Amino acid sequence: MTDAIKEQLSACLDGELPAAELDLLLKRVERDPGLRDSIGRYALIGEALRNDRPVVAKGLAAKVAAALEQEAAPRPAAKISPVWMKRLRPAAGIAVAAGVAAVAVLSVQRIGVPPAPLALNETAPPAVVAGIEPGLDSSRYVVPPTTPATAFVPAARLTNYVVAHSEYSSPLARRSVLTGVLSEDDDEDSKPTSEDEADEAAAAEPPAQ
Amino acid sequence: MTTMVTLRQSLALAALALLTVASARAADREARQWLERMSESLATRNYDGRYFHLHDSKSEAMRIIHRVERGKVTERLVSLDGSGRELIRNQSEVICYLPDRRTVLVEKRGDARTLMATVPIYNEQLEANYSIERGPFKKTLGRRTQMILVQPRDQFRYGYRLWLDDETAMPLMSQLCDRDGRVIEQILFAELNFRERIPADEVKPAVTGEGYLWVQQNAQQPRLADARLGWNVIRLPAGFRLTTWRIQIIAGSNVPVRHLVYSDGLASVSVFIEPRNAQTEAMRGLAKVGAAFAYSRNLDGHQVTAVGEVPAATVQAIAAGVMKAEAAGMPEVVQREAPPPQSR
Repeated sequence: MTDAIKEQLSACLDGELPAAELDLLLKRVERDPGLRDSIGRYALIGEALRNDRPVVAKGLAAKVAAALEQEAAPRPAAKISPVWMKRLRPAAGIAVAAGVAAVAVLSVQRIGVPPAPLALNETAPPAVVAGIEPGLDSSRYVVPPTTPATAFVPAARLTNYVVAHSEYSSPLARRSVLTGVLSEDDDEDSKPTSEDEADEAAAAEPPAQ
Repeated sequence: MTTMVTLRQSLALAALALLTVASARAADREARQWLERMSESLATRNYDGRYFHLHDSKSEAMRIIHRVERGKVTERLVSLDGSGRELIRNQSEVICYLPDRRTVLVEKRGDARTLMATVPIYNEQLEANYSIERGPFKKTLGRRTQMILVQPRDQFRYGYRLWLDDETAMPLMSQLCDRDGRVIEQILFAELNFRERIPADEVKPAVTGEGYLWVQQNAQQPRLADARLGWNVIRLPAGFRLTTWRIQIIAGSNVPVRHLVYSDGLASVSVFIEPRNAQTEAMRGLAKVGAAFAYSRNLDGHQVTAVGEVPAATVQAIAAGVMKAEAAGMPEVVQREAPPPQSR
């Protein structure tokens, strides 16, 4: 496994990898057990995904999580690689730790108190995502097409309302509401046809002779 | 003799029951204190983290930077999923940068007094709508966490499962759940750093928004004393009450919108009422943004929309209960604890 691939993985987990490269990377992951081990330790999103729902991945993170979950198998805790150390090192440059299936990095910076590494190892059972049978040929990993959810595409006006509303939400609810605004689907095709579009369609018709 | 025994047994039972109630109360209080610590941590600390937001079988990676400088909060939320979307929230406004749409959305915040009315207070009254309990201490994401369970007592609100960091009370993982415990969405921190100071540059957007369409309010905020005037919600779902209201200009339109806020102490629902604009398409029915539902209907030439991080049935019921006050044939909702709206 080369550092280039690790950097690619890192970019992938950050959602910064182009889709074409992602597919390539996933194929590499299938072939390379070492790589699998390495990223398996970062499958923390997997625990959350193990939510008795079929995997209909949309975002890159979900794709990766699904791939990781498919590959998940019991494995001993291993040392974290230097590239990951670099990736995870917080601004203060101190707290880094790895878990087997779940990782959190958390540092507390205080005046006069030297910060100490805080995160510790945790062993969690391997996760299996419902809807994917483990042990099958992993090259069959497929991201199912997302279903256009017409009723769930918010109009711009609605977005304005939601943002205005968020100011009156509890801090926890606000975070999820605003995250929803930022990650909102932008599927133009699934919007209900407006009168404008109908007019355009009519205008596109050649005039009757 | 038998009577004596029965009496003694009943007394013992009563005493036991009292003890149970007392210890349950004590436990509740501690659980609520955890929630208060969490709120304080979320609001007052300088932190920088990355989290995953999982819902409807989708997942997004987000970065959050929370900066507090001389009591003033600036928060930056960045989508890491390639869209480049981000949001900056400060004392006076919320600005959403949507590079994929080449749009910037600016929403002016309400004044502090109306905002304060909706900050959750974790008191015993909340227990009427939710049961709040401590779960076990657990290792979560490599840290010792206290689990707090906030369970709704009926189907009109969601609950939370929270894993709060033992040391800082920050929610390292949170699940929004329905009454049956089904997870609606999760927020899961992968990385969280507390920092003594965060430079101002780090809460600046990555894009300038130059050449984008800026959607913002162009008109002055109206000076009206009572924003509720003439409107009311009847048959509110149990536990919800009017906490504040205002008239505001929402970005992208010059028409004043009535904004009424209903809360059960934790969950809140906003009701927006504005005159129907013949130029735009009417919104009707149910829609969803993240974990929030919205329900729109038309009423007497007005567009009425209820929005909240509550089950669909709740926004639907609240939207359905919106009435013009005279049509409702009942007195206006009695004002409780809500501060008077600021007239400018």
